[in-house]
Amino acid sequence: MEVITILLTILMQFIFLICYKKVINKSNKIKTNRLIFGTIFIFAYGYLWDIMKIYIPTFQVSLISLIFLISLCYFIYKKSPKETIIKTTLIWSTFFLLDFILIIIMSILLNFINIDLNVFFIIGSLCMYLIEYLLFRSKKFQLFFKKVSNILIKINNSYIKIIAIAFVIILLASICFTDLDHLELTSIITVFMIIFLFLITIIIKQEYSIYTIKEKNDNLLANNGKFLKNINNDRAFKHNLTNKLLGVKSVVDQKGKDLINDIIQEYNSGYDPIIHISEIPDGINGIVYEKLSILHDKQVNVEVDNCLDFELLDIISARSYNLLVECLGVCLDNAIEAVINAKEKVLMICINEEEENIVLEIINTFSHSIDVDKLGMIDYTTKSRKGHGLGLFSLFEKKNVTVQTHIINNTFRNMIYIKKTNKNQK
Amino acid sequence: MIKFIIIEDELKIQATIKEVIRKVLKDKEIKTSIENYKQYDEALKRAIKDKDVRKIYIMDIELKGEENGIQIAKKIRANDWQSEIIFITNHDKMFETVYRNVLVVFDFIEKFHNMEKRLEKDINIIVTKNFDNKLFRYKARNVDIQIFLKAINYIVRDKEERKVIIHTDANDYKINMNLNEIYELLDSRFVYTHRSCIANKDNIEECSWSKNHFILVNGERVDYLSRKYKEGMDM
Repeated sequence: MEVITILLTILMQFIFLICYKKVINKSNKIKTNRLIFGTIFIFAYGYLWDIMKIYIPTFQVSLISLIFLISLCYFIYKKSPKETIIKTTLIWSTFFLLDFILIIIMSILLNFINIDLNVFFIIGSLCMYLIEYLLFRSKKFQLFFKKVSNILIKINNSYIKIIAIAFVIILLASICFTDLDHLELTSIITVFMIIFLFLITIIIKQEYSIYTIKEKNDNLLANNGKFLKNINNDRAFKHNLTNKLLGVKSVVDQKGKDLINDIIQEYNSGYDPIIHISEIPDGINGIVYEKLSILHDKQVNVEVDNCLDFELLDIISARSYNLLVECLGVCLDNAIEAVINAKEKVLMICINEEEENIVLEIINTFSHSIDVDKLGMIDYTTKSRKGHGLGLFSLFEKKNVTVQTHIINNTFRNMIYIKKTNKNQK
Repeated sequence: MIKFIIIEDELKIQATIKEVIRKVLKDKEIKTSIENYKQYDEALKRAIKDKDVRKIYIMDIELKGEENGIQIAKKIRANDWQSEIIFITNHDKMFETVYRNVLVVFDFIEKFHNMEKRLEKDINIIVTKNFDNKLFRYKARNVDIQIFLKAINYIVRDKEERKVIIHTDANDYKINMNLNEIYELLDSRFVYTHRSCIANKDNIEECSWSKNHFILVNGERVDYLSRKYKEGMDM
């Protein structure tokens, strides 16, 4: 029976390694020498484990087993220590939980079946390994596991330290108040408490991030309002100045009149972004105005085509609005810089609505050389100055927004797709 | 077969346009059909989606329905750059420049100023030039480009980066292809002028075989001309 127990322990280590392989990036090739040494360690551990469990309590043996598995996985697959610890601990906890459930089921079954206890133990262990293997083989579970482990991996190191300390404190406190004989049960409860606390932390973090985005958006909207107010002040100022100059014109000589005419013409010529401001939805009109005001006296033909007849923030979430403003800023900056140097200067902003998205299209003419295959890659820029090339690259890397770029008939077209949300989802 | 699609809500203007089309095509042996629409509806949607025939859209900008002419043109251009669009309008010059570039509009004709004559001239040009809206398409990782063949002046090999550079009047495009591959995608107006250059015959004004260069219609001098390719050029 002892040999069988050792063999079962060794088998369990191999099953563990297979499961671990299923949840890590498969591009890593395992070196043969590592695999050979790993196998030797597993056999040695199987033998040692059999001796250990006689002298050391079960709970400590389980902890030693976890430490051994972390070291083994790190030695064979050479992933980062953080990833190895998190993934190994998660697999170990899953195994631990499954063991616990299966032991309960088996003990119930034992009341109804008349079978030799050793045979029942072997069959039970093999069933357990099979279930564990099948679970980790399922693609759905692998995806779920990867999601959970990725969340944990992305967490700041200090959070992990806090969780580890919380685990030790809660475990010690539980031991103090409970019977040492029920240490396994206590540790399971502790694990669940930690998971619960961790989930609460994630929810709070999420809520906090939404709150900060909303606050940021309020600032954006306030700035937008300021720009709009400035537009009206500028208009009033221009109107008053022109009238005053016309007044002065009536009392000066011909040279003075010519000079005043020149000044008035200068103020009234070129592109005036004000003419388009009413066509742009609230929330982005101030930003567009600020960007387009550079085009004054640059002889650019600007057109805005807005098909939305409602407020942007009524149909997109705060997070999406934030992204939209960022993308719009990047695309408009690029478009303005390109259009100023174009032979025929045309810039158009189209705002459309699709079933699921808000589509913002920025079209501009340009006159320069483009390496089509490098466009949108980091550090590639069509501008002569160095230090550019991040704008479009950062947009292509964004997850919650789709940016499509087309060049048709010597016009550059950036299409930004932002997902619409229900008002109650915001 | 050419399909004329008139989108106009004024019956009088609609009749005038039809008359002009018939007048222009009277002596030409071209199979044509004319369809009338007052606004954007299901039938027009189907006509836009039909890719089997070459189409000339003649449309008003201000229409009574929900969609105006510009919005309909956008729908056409969503996946059709081959058809020609002529707008009947009263809008200003700035508006015209923008949409001529963005939607590749063939012409903007003023409704109450020589409309018949302008329309006659436009239809004649389109039919004579045989709808020259063929495109060169190339898809890169982050961007796809579509350039009208008529807009390409010449294509040269970039020795340093092993790419080809497509030269148009406004821009140059570097792409990862070789000259032979790109030559296969072009039509008969493109010829080799040099082992490192393919040029658009239609855009060449003059060839100087003794000085090994050719001059483009836009005045640009290109130093990629070799006697070896004289026969193929047929100029």
